[in-house]
Amino acid sequence: MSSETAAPPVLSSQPTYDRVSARSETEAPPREEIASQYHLGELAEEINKKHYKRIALQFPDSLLPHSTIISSALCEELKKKGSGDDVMVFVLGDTSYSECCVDEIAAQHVNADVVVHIGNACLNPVVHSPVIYLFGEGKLDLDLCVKSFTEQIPDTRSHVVIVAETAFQVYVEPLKGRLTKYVNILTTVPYLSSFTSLDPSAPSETIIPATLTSSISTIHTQVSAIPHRAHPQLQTDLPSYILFQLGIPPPPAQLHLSTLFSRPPIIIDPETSLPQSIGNLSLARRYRMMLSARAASTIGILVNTLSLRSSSELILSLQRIIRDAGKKHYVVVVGKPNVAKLANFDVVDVWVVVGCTRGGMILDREGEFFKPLVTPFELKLAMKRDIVWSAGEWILEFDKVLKLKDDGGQNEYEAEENSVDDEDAPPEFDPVSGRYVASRPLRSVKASKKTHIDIEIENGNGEMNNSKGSSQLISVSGNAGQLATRGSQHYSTAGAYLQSRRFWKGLGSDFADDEESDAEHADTEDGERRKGTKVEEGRKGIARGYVNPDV
Amino acid sequence: MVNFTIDQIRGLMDKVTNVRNMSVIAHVDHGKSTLTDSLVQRAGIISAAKAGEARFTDTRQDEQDRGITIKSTAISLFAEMNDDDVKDIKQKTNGNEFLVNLIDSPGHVDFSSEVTAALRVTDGALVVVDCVEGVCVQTETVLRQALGERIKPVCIINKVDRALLELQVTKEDLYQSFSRTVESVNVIIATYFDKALGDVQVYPDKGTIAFGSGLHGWAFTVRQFAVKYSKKFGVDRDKMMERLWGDNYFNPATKKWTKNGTDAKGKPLERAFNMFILDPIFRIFDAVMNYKKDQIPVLLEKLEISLKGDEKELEGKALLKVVMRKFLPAADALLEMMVLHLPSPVTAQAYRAESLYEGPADDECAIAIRDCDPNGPLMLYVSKMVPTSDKGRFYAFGRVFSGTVKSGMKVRIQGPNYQPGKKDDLFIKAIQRTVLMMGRFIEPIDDVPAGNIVGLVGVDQFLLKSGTLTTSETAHNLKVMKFSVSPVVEVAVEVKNANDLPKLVEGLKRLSKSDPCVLTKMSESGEHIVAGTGELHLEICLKDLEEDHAGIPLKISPPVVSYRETVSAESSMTALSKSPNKHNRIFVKAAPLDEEVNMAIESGKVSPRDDFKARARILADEFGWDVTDGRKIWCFGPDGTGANLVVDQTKAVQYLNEIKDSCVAAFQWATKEGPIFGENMRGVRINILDVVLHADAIHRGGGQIIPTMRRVVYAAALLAEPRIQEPVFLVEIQCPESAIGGIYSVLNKKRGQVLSEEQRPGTPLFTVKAYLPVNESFGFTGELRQATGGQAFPQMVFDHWATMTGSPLDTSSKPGQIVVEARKRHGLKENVPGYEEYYDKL
Repeated sequence: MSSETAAPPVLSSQPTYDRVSARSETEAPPREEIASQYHLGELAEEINKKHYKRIALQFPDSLLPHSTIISSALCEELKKKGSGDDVMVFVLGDTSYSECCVDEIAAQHVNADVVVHIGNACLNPVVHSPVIYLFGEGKLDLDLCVKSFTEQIPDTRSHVVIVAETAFQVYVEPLKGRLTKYVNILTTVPYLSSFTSLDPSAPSETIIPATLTSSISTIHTQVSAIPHRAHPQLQTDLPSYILFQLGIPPPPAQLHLSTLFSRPPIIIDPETSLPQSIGNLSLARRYRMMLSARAASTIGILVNTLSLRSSSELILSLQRIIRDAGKKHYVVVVGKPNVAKLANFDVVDVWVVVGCTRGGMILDREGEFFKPLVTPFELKLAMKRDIVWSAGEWILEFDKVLKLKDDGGQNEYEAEENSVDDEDAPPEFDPVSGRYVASRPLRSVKASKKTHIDIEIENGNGEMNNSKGSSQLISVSGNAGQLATRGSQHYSTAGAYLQSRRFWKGLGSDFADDEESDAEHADTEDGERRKGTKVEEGRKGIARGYVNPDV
Repeated sequence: MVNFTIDQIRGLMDKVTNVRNMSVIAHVDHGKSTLTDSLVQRAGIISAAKAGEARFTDTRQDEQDRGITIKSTAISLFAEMNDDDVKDIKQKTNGNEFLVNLIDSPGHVDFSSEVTAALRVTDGALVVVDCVEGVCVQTETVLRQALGERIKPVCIINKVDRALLELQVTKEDLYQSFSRTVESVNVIIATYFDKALGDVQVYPDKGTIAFGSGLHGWAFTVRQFAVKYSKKFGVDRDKMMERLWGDNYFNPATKKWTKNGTDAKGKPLERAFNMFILDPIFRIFDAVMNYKKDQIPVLLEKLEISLKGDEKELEGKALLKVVMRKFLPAADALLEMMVLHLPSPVTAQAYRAESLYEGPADDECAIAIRDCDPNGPLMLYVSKMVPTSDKGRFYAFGRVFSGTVKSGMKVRIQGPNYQPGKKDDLFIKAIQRTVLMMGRFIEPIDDVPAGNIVGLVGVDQFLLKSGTLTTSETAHNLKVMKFSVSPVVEVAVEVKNANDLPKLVEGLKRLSKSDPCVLTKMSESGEHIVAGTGELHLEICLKDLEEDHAGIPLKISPPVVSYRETVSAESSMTALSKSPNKHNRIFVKAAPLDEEVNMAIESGKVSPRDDFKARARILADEFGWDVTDGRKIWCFGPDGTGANLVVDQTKAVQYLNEIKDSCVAAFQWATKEGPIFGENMRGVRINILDVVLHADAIHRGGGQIIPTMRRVVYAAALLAEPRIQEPVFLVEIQCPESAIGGIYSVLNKKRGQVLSEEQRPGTPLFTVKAYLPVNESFGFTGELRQATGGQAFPQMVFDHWATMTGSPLDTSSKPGQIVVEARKRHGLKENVPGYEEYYDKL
């Protein structure tokens, strides 16, 4: 045992489970190139213009090795542009949830005035920090790209829309320039919601280099169905276009993009500059997940972001529809989710992940996770009374999910409940397993009419607070009232689970069993009979260093 | 006219000693429904003219069209016996009125599950055997099932008219054919001998076998003739019965009975059976079919048969039918056999109780079942769902084993996964109505006491296929039925119009309710799957789904086969996986389970619900297990019931109990989706050799253990020479000799393996038995027909899982190709991951 105290337990995820594997770009760019590659001059100007004093630099994991060089280069750049000595630059360490999102929480720790997000970004709006996006320039072989383009799309009259991961945005116009034969090519530019936002309290968002944003007002007038992109007016419907994507978006975004177009998107792997297959992403799989959510009685709301705008509204709305459907929910925050962390909650039947629409969602493609994971959109469909499934539509954006209409399922259930006295409601058919499952544990409790008093109050608070930020969100989820057991107005599926399903009932339970069996089979049983251990004082302390009692 | 009333039936229900619950079982086309007709006709429900053709119990249009029974159908009949017969009944009776609850079952192998469901609620079985075809594959299957359920059989040899009219056999040939058939039935019965049930072999001279023709509506038992002749000869009836079968001869010259086939002068004598029983029948046939008009009235007078006005005008077959039906009415012979020889519920439940009930043999429910006590706690087993005229609603069809079920009574509905003291799969609900099932009609009835068959309204929403209804809070379940067939043929169904999805799901629900065996589920890739036992079964299910249950147009994929993943050796080294935090280590080895153990688990002989000591005893005594291993089985999987085991072989590991739940959960998960291509695992025993756990509970929680246990199971399985298993059909083909060549060539092409080829004595027909992989069976019937000029028709029934030779990891082998293809279909990487993926170095 003493050997274990030597190495502290690794509490975070292991690389084997963490598929967000960092591409190694070990070789740092030469110092002089950094300034130009990351547009540090422009950045410094912007900072000076807005008089930001405390600047937080957020790097993706792959760029963290270069963070020191870049930050010192930025400091020099800032000095050159004549900013005062009081400007401080911080490098934010590990990102809390997903590296494409702006990590507001980390920025708040250093009380930053502005977050400079470097690398690939999801461009999802955050709650309050002003943000400057710095996409950088990914490496891409333009010649090969052109070759792939002409191979994949031989018809020069095809309608094509080129979209790039933000890091490859700089290649979009040059690529179009090389493909003069194609007459119907559309390009897109990143588009931030603050560009059109009339809300003065919305934090400012800026993209560097400015050249990427300047075009917005001229030709890229139409806000696209492609998330956070704008493009010129369409000649035909978007679905009839072919998507040519530079850089590999994360799986949820890939699936989302593929639902927007009628033809499978062509995705260019920046490593090889060749098209890459989309893999086993299909809506049918999601349909299965949605159906497993219907059959779930306990749903875990896995909060995978604390800073995205509308996330708290979304969580509240999910809580409401889950409750209306007679199911139990628990709100859980685990940091960066992985298989091991989620497997700890064996009472949860299905997870709904509220996270960044690009990096924060988890589509369990390899079947690694113990329990299925669904998106808020899928959960909303699953909680409806009748089985519905989108015909090709798959929504990720929080705002759109929030706007989805609920179909008064709630009233229906209540009407039913009134007729039920002490009889049980019938179970539902679960098409995934082909069995009947009783998936509405709260229904009988609700019938007693003392519906969730505490939670209703909590709702009120939540709605008042929800636009203000993340810290309140945590307090919303920490509701002690939900731990009560059946009989009171709350029903805990976790409690019921522990009581009935588990073999292990805690220390001493095995001891009692032994006694019982010993008494029963005192003469028949032989050496197998085990005696309970004598109670003695054990070790004290925390896991990384126990204090042994005096030996 | 129906010659009985519901009140009469209700009255008889209370006299439970006078109730007979029986099913009619046989091979396909041996004439069950036709025979049933003669009983239905006797009850006055259909007219005599229609009997034999109406097939009253084939209630569905497609059953009538195809001429096969698909669903089992129950009907209650009222019978009156004369006092003479009642005296011969060897069990307690009360008066001479009897209630026969009869269930006609399908004979096609694909619908065996319907037979299982029928057998569960009955105590006796009428086994029908075709006199020409003899005992066939399905005869054996259903008989085995019946004996397994402790059902007492009686037998009828049917289609004797065919033997007389088509084959023109002699009396002695017919006798020999009868005795061979009796012999082969008895061989099967003897094979599945059950001590509690006693000797239930059938003997003509004991009256447990009848001979007859369902189509013509006549049948007889030796006893019936013995009754007639005993009066004439003045001999004791029982003695007469013995003499009328076997090597007994009557010498008309000396008027002496003898055991020798020759008289004093060496002249052959005629067998008593031929002389006294077959002779009158042969004479009638001869006279009527050869239009010997002058002989007919003489014969009729001798046999005391009087024809009515217009019947006298008939001739040929029509006349034959009328005459035979008057001479030897089928219903008389059948009723006599049932009433005399089949057990009443009281008799049957005394020996069936222990095999019916999961709980201890001495609790109140077990005792009430044993005594068939109408005043005890209600114990009712719902064996199947019968569609009502109200779409989507079903009657729960079942048998009251104890207590009395009433309309409006509040009961506990216990599904198949219910465990006493827990809340899973348990609902409390009032029964809306109780009804009596009368073929295609139902009759409302207020209450039904123990020992009877009943239909219930209002519980169908709580049970998918079957379950236990009780009023006792401590009641365990009645044993879940085990089917002899397995749904191994799958198709994916898809809606043509996305808006129809809810209808499809609702349809799938109704489909799985309406059939005891069909399985609906969803594949990993998000397709709705319907799995059936064979092509015909699937065809019927899909037709029902499309036209009836869902009522929408469907896209249906070509059929595929489900496979199993298994291992063929012990792991070549101890598999080790570390938890994500590296502080817990699990060491296991995988080993194959014996095929006998697999089958024992699948047939319910060894089950997770047994007491662990009793289970260990069976494993040790019958399968050569170590007793300590047998006691330390942690769980079965997948779904807690499958044929994979975790055995704890650790020594003195601290906190081991604490991780058991996590290991069990992980094992269910791992065996449900095996490492090779995500199919169920089968026949894998995982021995946990050692476990190293972190001292602090927070670091050995489910999150650390569940993924680790899953990984280590995968690693151990991949280290133990993994194999895949495919389902194999037993095929039986009857054909003339000329077609045999064609059969062999088709079988060879389809990886078939011939087991036996026999000529049926006395006929030109050959019976070929072979194993055929289910995967190759698609289109087999068609090809066979083509190769044999339509002379051969196969019967295919799931027989076993066969391990395929060759490693599934080697993509050039046959299993390897199957795996690659399946992985592609499921959207997995084409290559099976190596064990290194799951194995951690120490």
